[in-house]
Amino acid sequence: MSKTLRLGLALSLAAVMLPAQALAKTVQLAIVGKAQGGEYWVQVRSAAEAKARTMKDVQFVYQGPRSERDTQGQISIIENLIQKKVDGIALSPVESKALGKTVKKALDAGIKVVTIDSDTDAKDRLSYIGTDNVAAGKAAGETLKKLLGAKKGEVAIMTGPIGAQNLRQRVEGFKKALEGSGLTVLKEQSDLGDKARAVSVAEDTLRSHPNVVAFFADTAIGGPGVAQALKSAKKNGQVVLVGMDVTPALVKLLNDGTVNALIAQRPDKMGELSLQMLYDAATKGAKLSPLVDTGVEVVTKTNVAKFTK
Amino acid sequence: MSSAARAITGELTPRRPQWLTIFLDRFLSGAALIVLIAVFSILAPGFFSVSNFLSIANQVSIVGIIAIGMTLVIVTSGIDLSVGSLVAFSACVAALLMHTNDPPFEQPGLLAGMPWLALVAGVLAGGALGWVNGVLITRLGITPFIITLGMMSIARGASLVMTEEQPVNALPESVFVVGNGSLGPVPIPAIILLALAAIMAVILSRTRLGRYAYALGSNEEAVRLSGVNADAYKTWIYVIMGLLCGVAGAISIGRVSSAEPNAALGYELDAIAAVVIGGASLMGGRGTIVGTLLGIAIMGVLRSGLVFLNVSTAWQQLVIGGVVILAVWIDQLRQGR
Repeated sequence: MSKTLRLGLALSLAAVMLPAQALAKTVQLAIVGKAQGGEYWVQVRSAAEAKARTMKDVQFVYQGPRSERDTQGQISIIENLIQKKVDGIALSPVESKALGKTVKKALDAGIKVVTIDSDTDAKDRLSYIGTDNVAAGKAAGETLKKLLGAKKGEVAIMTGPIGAQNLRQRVEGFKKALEGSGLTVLKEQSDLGDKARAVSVAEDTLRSHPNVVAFFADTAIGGPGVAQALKSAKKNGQVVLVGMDVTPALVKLLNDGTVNALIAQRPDKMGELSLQMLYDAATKGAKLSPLVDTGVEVVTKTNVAKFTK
Repeated sequence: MSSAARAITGELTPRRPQWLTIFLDRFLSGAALIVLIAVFSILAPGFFSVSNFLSIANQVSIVGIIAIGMTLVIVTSGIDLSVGSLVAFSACVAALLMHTNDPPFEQPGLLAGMPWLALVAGVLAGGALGWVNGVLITRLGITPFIITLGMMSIARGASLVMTEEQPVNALPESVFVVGNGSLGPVPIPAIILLALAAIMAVILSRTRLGRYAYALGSNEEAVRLSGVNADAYKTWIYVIMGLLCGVAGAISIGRVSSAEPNAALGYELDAIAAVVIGGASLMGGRGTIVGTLLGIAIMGVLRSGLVFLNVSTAWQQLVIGGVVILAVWIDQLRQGR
C-alpha cells in the first residue's frame, strides 16, 4: 500500500470518527408513541421537538408502531433503541402487560424509562407522566350528567383498541361517575381504532337502542365517528356527545353543536415534561417522582378558543 | 379468440349439470345468511327492518367493493394484501388535491375548485399502484403475496408521509355525498357496491378477461402454452383491483368526513374472508361475485347483529373468525375432498 493511500485512509477514518465522537457527548432521548400518525401523537411529538431544540446537547427522535394495535412493532422499536444505547425512552405502551417485559429489558440495559399517556402494569418504570385516566373518565361522566340534566335513558360508550389500560380506566371512571344517577350504561363497544368502524357501530347502537340519550367516546377517533353517525341519523344536538382530546376535527364538531363537551388531556405537557425528566435522570441522576398527573380540563363551546391558540 | 381458454377451462370443469353447480355453490351460504337474519330478528327487536338492512349494506360497502376485486384476483390464484393501504392512499391523494385553505393548510389544494376531478384522480392513483403491483408480479416473477405485502407497507407509508401523518379534515363537503348520501332511502355507497358487482359479474362470466382469469387460476402453464399473453391479463386484473380500492377510498372520505392515512387498516383480511366464505378457492379457478356478495352480507349481518345484542367487540371478532373457518370446512365437505 502506498504512503499516500495509507495517509488518505487514516484521514478519512479520522473524518468518520470525529462526528461520532461529538455525538457520543449528546444525550440521546426517544419518545415511542402508540402510532406513527394521528393528531394526538403529533401534538406530543411537536411539543417534545420544540423542547429538544432548546436543549443544546439533546438528540431527540420520535418513533411509533404502524398502528395502535401493533404490540409487536412497538416491542421491536424499543429493542432497537436498546441496541442503539439511547440514554432515555419515554414510552406509551400499546398493551400494558406485554410492553412491561420490554421496559424491564431497557431498564436492565441502564436506560432511563418513563411512561407517558398510558402506563405499564409492572410499574417498574421511573415515572408515569400523563393523565389520571380514572379522573378523566369521571370528569366525562360528571360533565355528561350535567348536560343531560333531568333527562333519563341509556348511555353508550365508544372505546378504542381493546387492551389499553388508559381506556379501561377511562371507562371505569366514567361508569363510577354515573352510578346511582338513574342512567343505564350499555356494554361498551370498541371501534378498534378505526373511524369507519366507529361510525358503523354507533349507527347500530342508535338503531338498536332508540332510548340512547348520550354517548361518551373515549378517543379522538371514536368521537368524530360517533358524531358522523349522529348526523346521518339526524340526532345531532339531541343526543349528548362527550368526547376526549382536543383535535381540529373535534373542535369543528364542538363548534357546530354535534359534540357538547371535550375532556382535554395535555399531550404537549407529556412530551415536554417527559423529555426534561429523562434528561435530568440521565445527566444528573435525578430521582423522579413516580407519578406526574398532567391533568384534564373540560372544554365547551364557550372556552374552546383558549385551547386552540 | 377465446377457444383456447374454453378448451382449457372445459377440461377442468367437473361434468355436472350447470343448475346443480349453481345450486350447490349458492345454497349453503344463502341458507346461512337466512338463518343468521332469522336468529337476530328473533333475539333483537328492531333488527328486522328495511332501514336496518339498508344501513348494513351501507356499512359493508367499502369492504364489499374491495372484496369484489379480490374475487377476480383470487380466481387467478393470486392475492392482494395491499388493498387496505390502497384505499387509504387514494383517499389521501384525492384529499390533498381538493382540500380548502382552512387550517392547517395555508393554500387550497391544486384541484380545490374541482373536487370531483380530485376524487377521480384518487381513483386513478389507486389504479396506478395496482398497475405497479401487476407489473412487479409479472416481470419479476415474484409471488403476488410478497409483492402486495411490500406494497401494503409502501402505500401505507406513502399515505402517512404525504399527509404528515394527520387526517385531512379541511375538505369541500359537496363530495361527501359519495359516502353519506342516499337516493330516496337507499344509501349511495350501497348502490355503487351493487353496480360494481354487476359490472364485475359480467366481466367474469362474459368477457375474455374473465374466462382467462379462471383459466389462469386453474392451469397457468396451459394458458401460456396456448399463446395467450397471460402477463398482460394478469396486470389488468391488479389494475382493476387498484381502481376498485380507489372507489372505496372515495366512499371512505364521505363516510367519515375526512381522509385518514390510517384508514382501512386490516380490511384486506376482511375482504379475503368474505371471498372465501362466498365459496372461492385460494388455489384459484373458483369463485363468483354472487358468492362474494353473500359472504359480505354474512359478515355485515353478523357484526351488526352482535352489536344489537350488546355483545362485546372481543367476542364479535371471535365469532367472525369461527364463521370463516366453518364456511371453508363446509365448502370442502361439499367438494367431497
